[in-house]
Order: sequence, then structure tokens, then C-alpha cells
Amino acid sequence: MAGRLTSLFRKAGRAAALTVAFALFSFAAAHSAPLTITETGSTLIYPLFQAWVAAYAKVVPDLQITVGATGSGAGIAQAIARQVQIGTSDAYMSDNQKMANPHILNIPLAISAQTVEANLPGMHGAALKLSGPVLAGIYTGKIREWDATPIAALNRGVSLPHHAIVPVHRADGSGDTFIFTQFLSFTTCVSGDSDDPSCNGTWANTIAYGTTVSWPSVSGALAASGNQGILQTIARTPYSVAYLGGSFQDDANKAGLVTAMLENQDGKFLLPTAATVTAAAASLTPRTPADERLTLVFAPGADSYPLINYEYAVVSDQQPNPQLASAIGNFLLWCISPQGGSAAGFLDPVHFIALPTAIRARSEIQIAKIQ
Amino acid sequence: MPDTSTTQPRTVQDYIDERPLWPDGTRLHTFPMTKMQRRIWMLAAAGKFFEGFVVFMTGVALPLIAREFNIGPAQHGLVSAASLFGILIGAVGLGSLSDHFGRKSMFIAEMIIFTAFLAAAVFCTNFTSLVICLFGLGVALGCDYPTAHMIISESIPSTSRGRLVLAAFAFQAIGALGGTAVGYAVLVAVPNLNAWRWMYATAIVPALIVTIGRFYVTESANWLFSRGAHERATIATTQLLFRKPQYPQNIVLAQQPAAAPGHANGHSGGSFLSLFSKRYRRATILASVPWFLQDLSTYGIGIFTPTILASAIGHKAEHVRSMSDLIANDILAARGAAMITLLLIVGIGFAVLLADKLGRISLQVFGFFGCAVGLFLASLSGDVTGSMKIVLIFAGFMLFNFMTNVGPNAQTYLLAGEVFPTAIRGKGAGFAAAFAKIGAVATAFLFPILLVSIGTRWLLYGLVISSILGAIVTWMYRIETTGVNLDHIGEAASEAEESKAIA
Repeated sequence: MAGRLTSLFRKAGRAAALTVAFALFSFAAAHSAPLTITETGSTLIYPLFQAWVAAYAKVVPDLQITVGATGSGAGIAQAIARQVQIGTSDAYMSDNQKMANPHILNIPLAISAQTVEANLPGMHGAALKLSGPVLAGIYTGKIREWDATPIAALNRGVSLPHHAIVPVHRADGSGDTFIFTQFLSFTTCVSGDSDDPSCNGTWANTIAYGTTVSWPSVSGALAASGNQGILQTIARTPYSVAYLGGSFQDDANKAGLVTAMLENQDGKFLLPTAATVTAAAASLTPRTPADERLTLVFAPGADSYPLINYEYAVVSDQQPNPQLASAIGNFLLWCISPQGGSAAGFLDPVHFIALPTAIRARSEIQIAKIQ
Repeated sequence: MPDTSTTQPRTVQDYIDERPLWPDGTRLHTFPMTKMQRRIWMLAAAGKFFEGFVVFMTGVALPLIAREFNIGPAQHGLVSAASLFGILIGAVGLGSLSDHFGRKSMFIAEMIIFTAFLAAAVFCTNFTSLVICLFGLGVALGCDYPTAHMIISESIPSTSRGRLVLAAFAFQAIGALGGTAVGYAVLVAVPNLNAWRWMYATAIVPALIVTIGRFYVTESANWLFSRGAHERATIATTQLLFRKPQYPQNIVLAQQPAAAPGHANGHSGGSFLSLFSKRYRRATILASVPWFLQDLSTYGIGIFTPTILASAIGHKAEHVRSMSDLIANDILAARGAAMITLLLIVGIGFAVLLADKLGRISLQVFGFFGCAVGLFLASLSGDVTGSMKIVLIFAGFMLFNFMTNVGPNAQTYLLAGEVFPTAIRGKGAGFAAAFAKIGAVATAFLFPILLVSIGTRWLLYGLVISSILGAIVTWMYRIETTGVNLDHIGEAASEAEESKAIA
């Protein structure tokens, strides 16, 4: 009996020693392993984010950042669900999402533009002018041919093909869809007052805007996921038209697509350039609130390109531990720094521009809240 | 006090209209209100206050609600329709029920409905529940149009009826100002989407107090008398006229004469159709048609409201780009609503002072003509540009608002509750309110179409004519009720109709 007891105590002692040793090993491993930050969301910012992560790995080698391009809707949702530390989005969180999750911050990292691309065989390099109401007509099926009167009226002297238009839109929840449909809403109901009789039956009063909308049924219309999917779809579909993130503009050019000049509030038709995007951003900088949830679409000003947006990092201000909070904060500060991720070397290739100084200051205040 | 009131049986209104005597036999120069009369008036005025408070606060709350529930333009129409439909049901349905169940019952019921739906509104979670709450609030509002008027006018002396009914009516405008101010304050203090819930919440406890207070008023002795409930009418009159020292000491009510066939001043009450009988047609036309025409031109001058507000308090953001834009626009709208309400209060203030002196009919006719001049001035703004344009719009807008509030806006409400005999007063006043609201709904839908098809100028010319028509109808079907004992108003209406028929 005594021998059995002694044996039992020995076994228990060995088990306890093993447990303590495993715990000590785990603790040590945890402290020596590099921190990991996961990001997912906007496909528009994805090319830039990849470049940032590669460059930041040289600045903070111990930090590991994984990126995913799942669409802005998924970026916001996964950040709220704490499945990722950083969600990225072309659109800010809705008011209801913000109200339900007051601890989630919407931090602009840069400013991007969106283009409207058309696959018009034989017209590569031509100047195509489009307006919000005309695009609304195309996406509602009221304008069916490329040489229809409303398009021809904007493009006098341009030989437009007599061919059916194939409108293409995003299939996934997308910040690009939010921006594009908001442009259609703002331009079809100029007063911005839905009770205005002149807004009856317009895109603004029937379909409105969001990361997903009930797209009108148009014969031949196509849908694709992500900006890459959109690019591939319009590249292989003659006479198609689609909205595309500005970071894919070079790929669109290589594919022979025509980038449309879009009509702004002053009736000028502009292409997205550093100057026109900067002018649009500057006009709305004073109206950007402290929580930075503001749309830049259809900004006022003669030189303002109408399809631009803040690219947001959607981040919780309550992180599991101070090390992670600090790592996220430092990374985001580096992203918006002109000496870091917002240097021209990162932004120019993807046609982004850096935040105006006043907006960068607001983003820094928000980043400081991450704890 | 020596009591001379027991010498012969009289009607309830005779007792109310009698100035008390001092112990030495000297008759008082005024009608000091009894405690119960004051209580009834204050509770009716408080109800009006909360109506104005909540309706105008809803105007401030709606942009936030629309954003939270993602209400689209089509649903916006449903929100307005829910309130208006509620008013129609409340005015015709519940308002007329006061002829059957009594003024006090509906006076309490409407406030219970109001408070219940107000409390429910705070916790709305979706568009459907919001529409139900706004419908419920509309029902209470509609019921109050005839009920508040009747419970006051049947409890106070004939000579101060106009002044006191309109003074209570003015509390709706004061409530509107209060609602806008509280809405504004809440927006500043809680600048987020939840602000609208706090706005509604501020009114719940005071509304509850008013509801409880209404249990402690007497039933309308005039209504009981008209129903032949002699004993209850006597008790109610005693409670209503309780004062120290007591006067009158002994109340002996006359026997209510049996109603003649087709007459509604007896116990029968009369059906809705009786409003269109030869005897009451004149009263029905006078109560309904000018009110309808007044609502028509009020919508017309509304075309200029955005211009007036933009000039006076600044432009709204061209597109709502953020929550801050939404709040800022809403604050601007609240200021605008407060400015319009101030005009309302000034106009009604004059109406209160003048109604018992100049008479309802002359004020209504004068007001309609003034509205026509205001609309005409505004129509001239189409011919000029620059500062003169703004001057004309301002002059027309201000003149219209002053004249409509001193005239038709106040007087149509007053007359609708006076021109019918007690037994069908609820139905008559309820019908008039509902008829005017049908006009409001129709014009809300028709005006945008007319604006496009005939243009602003011709639309305003049309409204100038409709305002003049309002004056003509008022004059042709006039029943002057100023200072007239409620018991004789029905007679006045039918006599006028009969003399017209003979002529």
C-alpha cells in the first residue's frame, strides 16, 4: 500500500514538473515570437497595403502583418467582429454600425480616386465624357446604346459605336459601390433634398447608395467580385463600362480601356490626376468632423474630380494588450507619415494622394486612442 | 352673496354666463374663473402645448430617424401620411365620439393615447413601429381638435369664449416653439443618432401629469344637459362653478325641450348625415370650406419657406456628407421652424385680443383678404431680381403669416367648435378638421404637379383667388358667434338658413 502511494506521489510530481516546464516554455515562446497584425478589406487599397507591409517589415522586423483583399464590407465586418486587427474600407462605417460599435475608429490613411472605365474597341486613347445622370441612365437601363443621345450630347465630334452598353458592377459588398452609387445619387438629386419634387424617380430617390444596392435589372449587365474581378470582366467584354478603384488605373490602361472624364459640380469634365484629386480633397477638408466619417464624393470646386474618397483603417480602440495596441498605432502612424507610407514613392504608383495636414492631424488623434 | 339665480330654472350656459353678485348685491364687472374652470382651461392648453411640442419636435427628429432606419423617399411619404391619416381618424372618429361618451371621456382618452404612443416612440426599433407611433400620435392630435375646444367653450362664459379658446390654441404654437427649442438643445447636447429618442423622452413625464390631471375635471355640464342627464348636469354645474363664497348657491336647471325631428340639440345627438341637413348645412359649410381654403394657401406660401429661411438663417449643406452635416442641417431647420413659430405666436396673440371685440367673421374675412394681398406680393417677386425680389418675398410671406394667424387660421378653429349645437358639436367640429386635412393631403400631392405644369406665378394667382373665395364663403355663410350663448348658436345657424331659404 505504502509502495503504491509512493509511486503515485512520484507520478504526480513528474506530471507537475512537466506542466510547470511547459508553462514556462509557452510563456517564453510567447514573448520571443513576433507580434502579428492581420488586415483585410478594401481591394482598392490592397496594392498599396502590400507595398506598405513589405516596407514596414524593414522598419520593424519583429512585426508580422498579413493582408487580405476581401472587399470593404468584409473589412468593416471582420474588424467589428475582432477577427482582424485592421479592417480597410473605401467607405466609412454606417451610422448604425458606428452607434452599435462606438469603440471602432474610422481612420483615414490616404485619399484615393475611382475611375469609370469603358471597353470601347477602336477608341483607346479617345476622350470619353460621362456624367452622373448619364451613368445613372446606363445602370438603370434607360440609356442602352453607346451612341444614345445623352452620351452623344456630352461627346460632340466623337464617333461613338452603335452598340449595346454592358454595365458591370461589383457583386460583393464594396466601398467602391458606395462611392459610385453615392455619386449617382448626388448628381441626380442636386439639391440633396429627397423631398424636392425634382428628385422624384431619380437614382437618389429609387436606388440610393450603399456598399450593396438593389441594382436595376438591365439586360446583359454583369457583376464581378473585387477590383481585380471587375478589371478582368471589362477587359474581356467589349462595350462594357464599370467603376474601378484608382489603384488599378495602370492595369486598365494596359488593357486598352478608356478612362472617362467625369462631370463635376461646376460642369467641368475631369480625369483623376494628382491636381484634381488634391483640389477635391482640399475643398472638403474643413468639413471633416472629428470622427472623420465624411464622404468626399462630388466635392465642390471647379477643379475637383468628383469620385474620390478617404481610404479608412477600421480599428478598435480597445486591443487585447498594450503591445499589440502600440504596434498597430505605430504602424498606422507610419502609414500616414510623409516620411513613411505616405511618401510619393508609395502613393504615386497606385494614384493615391497623401492626407492633407489637417486631416493627418485628426487621424493621429484617433490613432492615439488605440489602447 | 345673495343668490338671484334660483328664481327661475335656466340652462347650464345661463348659469355660467351669470356674473356673480357681491354680498351687498353689487354685480361683479368681470367673470372671475372658478378653480375648476381654470383647471379645465389649463389642462386643455397643456394638451395643446404638448401637441405642438411633439409635432415640431418630430420635424427636428425626423432626419435622424430617417438616417437610423434608412428611410427612403417613398417611405418619407408614408411617415407624413401616417400622421395625417391619424389626424383624420382622430378628428372624425374619436372627436365625434365625444358627442356620445362625453367630453371628459375623450379628453382623457386622447391624452392616454398621446402619452402611450409618445412613450412607444422612444423605443421604436424599425420603420413600421415608427409609422404606427406617428399614426397613434396623429389620432390623439385629431381627437383634440374638437375635444379641447368643446371642453373649454362649454365651461366658460360666452363673452370670453373666443379669447380663452384661442389662448389655449396659442399654446400649440408655444409648444411648437418649446419643442423646437428642446429639439435644438438635445441636438447640441447629444449630437448623435440617438438624439431623437431623448427628444421624445423629455415630454413623457409632463404628458403623464396632464393625463392624470384630466381625471380630476368635471364632465361638460352643457353636454350632460343636452343629453337630458339633468341630475348629473346639475352636479357638474355645481362643481364647475364652485367658488368661495359659493355662487350660485342653488342650481335649478330648466327641462331640456324635446328635439324637433331632424334637430340635434336634444337627446338624440343626430347622425353624421345631419351635418348636411338643411338645418346645419350652413354651419357645416362655414366650418369646413374656409378652413380647407386656408390650408390650401398655407401650402402655397410654403413654396417660399426655403428662400425665407436661407436668407434669414443661412443655407443648408448641399449634400449630407457626415453625421455632423446632418446635425448642422437639423439645427438650421430647428432655427427656421422657431422663426416661423414666432410669426404664428404674434398673429394668434392678436387674434386672442381681437376675437371677442371685433368678431370672428370680420377677422376671418379681413384675414383672408390680407392673405390674398400677401400672396399677390410674393407672386410679384417673379418679375424682379436682386434685393427687390427678396424684399417682395419677405413682405408677402410676413403679411400672409400675420394675416392668416390673426384671421382664418385662428378663426376657422374657433368657429368650427362654436357653430354647431352641443349635441352634434363633436361631429361638426371633427368633420371640419378632417375636411381641412383632406384638403391638406390633396394639395401636398397636387402642388408639385401644378408647380411644374402651370408655374409658380399662376399657382399663386390661383391661391389669391382661393383666399378671396374664403372671404366670400365666410361672409355668405356667416354665423357670428361672438358673445352668443352656446344654447342659442344652433338656433342662430338654423334661423339664418331658414331665412335664406324663405328669401
